[in-house]
Amino acid sequence: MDAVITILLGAVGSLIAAELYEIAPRLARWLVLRAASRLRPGERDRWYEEWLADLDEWPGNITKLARSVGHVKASVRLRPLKNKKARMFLAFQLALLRRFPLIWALFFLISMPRIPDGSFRENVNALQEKAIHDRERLIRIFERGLEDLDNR
Amino acid sequence: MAEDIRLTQPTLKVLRFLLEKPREGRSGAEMSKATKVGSGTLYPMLARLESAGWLSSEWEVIDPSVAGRPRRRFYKLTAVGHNNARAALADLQMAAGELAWMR
Repeated sequence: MDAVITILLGAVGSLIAAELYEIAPRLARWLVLRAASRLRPGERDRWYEEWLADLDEWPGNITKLARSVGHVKASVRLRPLKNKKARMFLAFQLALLRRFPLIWALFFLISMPRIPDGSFRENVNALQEKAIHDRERLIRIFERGLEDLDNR
Repeated sequence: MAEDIRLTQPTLKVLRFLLEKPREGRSGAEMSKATKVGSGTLYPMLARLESAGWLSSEWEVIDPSVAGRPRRRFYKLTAVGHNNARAALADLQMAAGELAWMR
């Protein structure tokens, strides 16, 4: 029984690792977008493009992901977080990513939005559109729920 | 322009690397590969050195849509940065020499 569980865990682990390797460049680009988006408006475009170019110069998907974690740290140093909770949350996320990347990746497999190629502004617009779309969808679900309640 | 630059070990490594070919622009990735300074430390340091007037930077002249990749940003030492970096490294070398002599 133990052998079966070990084999199953190994198979699931290797599947997750393969998936993480596959999505690592997208995760890296997403992290760079997040890192740049927390800088001052006048600095975002510059660092976003520079950090994307930086990722482009490194071979290997996991190396790119590790670099993008560094870019998040750089953005915190360029514009320190004022809120203590936000600082702690970011530190927790970075620690989780460093020590248990598979667990961290699982969250993002579920929640990560697809990042298109393009400038910082275009990417932010895409994220905003997605947020508006999600909000509208939630409102529609909520309204349908209210209608159902009324009908009862 | 602020002159107050903390000359930490990573800063000195980057300055030494830039001094090797002071007229050539170097990208952040190139500096990281050569000096082993991580991006979390490197980019804030480059921003500080640039705002202090030690470095200047410019975009690579390419069309990203044609090249199929984003433009790199190249950094090089200014005249002030060149003098300051050489002086800092010379001080360090002298201090190291004195330390060795004291042993």
